[in-house]
Amino acid sequence: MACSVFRGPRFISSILRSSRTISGAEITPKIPAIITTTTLQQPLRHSSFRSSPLVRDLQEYPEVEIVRNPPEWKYVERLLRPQTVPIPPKKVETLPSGWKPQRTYDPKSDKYFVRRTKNHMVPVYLMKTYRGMRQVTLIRYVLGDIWALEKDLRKVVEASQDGKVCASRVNEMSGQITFHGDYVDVVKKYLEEQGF
Amino acid sequence: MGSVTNTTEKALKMLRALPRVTIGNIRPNPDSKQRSKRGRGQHGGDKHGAGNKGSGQRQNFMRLGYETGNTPFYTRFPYEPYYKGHHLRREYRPISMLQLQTLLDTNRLDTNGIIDLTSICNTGLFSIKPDERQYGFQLTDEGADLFRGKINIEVQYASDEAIAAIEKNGGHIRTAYYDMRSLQAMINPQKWFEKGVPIPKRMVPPLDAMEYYSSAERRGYLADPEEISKERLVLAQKFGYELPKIEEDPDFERLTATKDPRQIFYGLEPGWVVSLKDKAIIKPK
Repeated sequence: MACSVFRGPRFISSILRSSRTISGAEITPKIPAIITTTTLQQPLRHSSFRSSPLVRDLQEYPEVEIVRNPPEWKYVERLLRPQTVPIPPKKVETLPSGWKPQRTYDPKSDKYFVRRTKNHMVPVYLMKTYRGMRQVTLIRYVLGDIWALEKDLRKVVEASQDGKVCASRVNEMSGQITFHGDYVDVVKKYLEEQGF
Repeated sequence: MGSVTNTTEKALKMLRALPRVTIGNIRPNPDSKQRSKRGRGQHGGDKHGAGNKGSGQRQNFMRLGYETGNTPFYTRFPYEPYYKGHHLRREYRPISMLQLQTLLDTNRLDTNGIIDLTSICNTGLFSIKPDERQYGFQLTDEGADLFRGKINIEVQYASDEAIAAIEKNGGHIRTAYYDMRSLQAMINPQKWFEKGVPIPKRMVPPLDAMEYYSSAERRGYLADPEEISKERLVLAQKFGYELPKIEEDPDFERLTATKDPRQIFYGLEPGWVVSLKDKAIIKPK
C-alpha cells in the first residue's frame, strides 16, 4: 500500500532486506543477482537538509494508517497553486485599490487599443539601463494604429513637462512605444482614463 | 498609378509600405567599396578614451566604497557596527497595504481561509527565498488608509498602521514565525507533498525573536489572547477608530481561525504524509 508513496531504489532495497510481505504476496527479488542491495542505494553525496533521508528497515518506522478521501483533503486543496490566473471582477463601479476592469475592444470604432497583461494590469513599465542613468517608459501590447496612440501620448507626456519635447520610439512590429524618461504614472493614468 | 513597369519604381513603392527598412538595416550594394573607418578621438580612437588596462578599460564599476587599495572609509573606523551580524539577520519581504488590497480586488487571494505565507506565494506575484535568509513577508503601511478588506491574515512582521488598518475593517491579524525547514515546505506545498516527506513540525522562534512573537502589541502568535484583545482596544484608541465587534460577526469562526504554534498548514498535522496522486493522507497511528 505504501508503495504508491515511497518509490525509488532506496525503498526497494529496504524491502529486499526486510523480506516482509506487502498486500498479501511475498516480494521475490526478480532482479539480476549482480545488482545487490548496496548498488541500489543512492550515494550520500547530494544529500542536504531538503533531501529525504535513506529509508531504513521498515520495522524501525512507526505504524501508519492510510486514509483515502480523508475529510482533511479540503485543507490540502487550499494549499495547491491555481493552474491559471484567477479571473477578476468583470463589472464594478469602484474598488478600494483603484483597479478597474478593461473596456472591451471594438476594432470597428477603436482606432487603437492597449490590452492588459496576463495579470490584468496596464502594461506600462520603467526600464532602467546604464546603472539607472537611462530611464525609458515602455508601453506594450498596443493593437491597431500605434502611430495615433503615440501622437496622443506625446501630448500628455509633453504637457506634464511644460511642453518640452520628448524623444520617443515606435516599434509597430512588436506593438511597443517607448518614451525617454520616467512617465510611467502619467501614461498609466491617461490609459486608465481611456478605459484601457 | 496604373501599371508599374520600372523595377526601381516597384521597389520604391514597396519601400513606402515597409517603414522599418532604413539606411541602417539594408546591406551595401554588391561590389561596393568598403572605406576604412575613421576612428574618433585622440590616437584614432584606439582606446575610445577609456585608457589602458583595469576597470577603466573594462568599463566595469568598482564596488561601492572601494578606494582602489586603500583601507575603505567604511571599514576604517570600527566604532559604529551598523552592519554587525548582517549575514545572520532575518529579512522580511515587504508587501504594502495597497498591494494587498489589489490582490483582494483582483481575486488573487482566497478569503475563506487564513491568508498566510503559502497563499501569498501561491499568487505567483510574490516569492521568498529562504536560503537567502528571507523569513517571510512584512506588511507596510503604504495605502493603509484605503484598505477595505475583512480578512484573517498571518504575516511575519507588521507595522502599527498595518495592524490598525486590518482591525479597523473587522479583520484579524497575527504575526508568526516559521523556521527555515518549514518555509521550504510552505513556499511550494505541492513540491513538498510530491517528495513524499512528512509535513515538518514548526520550531519555536530563536531567542532574539521570542520577545516579538510573544508580545500582544505586535499580535504575536505566542501572545496571551486576553492581552491581545486588550491591545486591540489600545490601538483603536491610539488611531482613533471604533473597533468592530469581531465576536458578533457572522464570520467569527473564519476570521479567528489560527494555526497551532507547532503547525505549518491549517487543518493538517505535522508528521502526516500527503499523497496527491492517490488522494490519501498517511497518518502515524
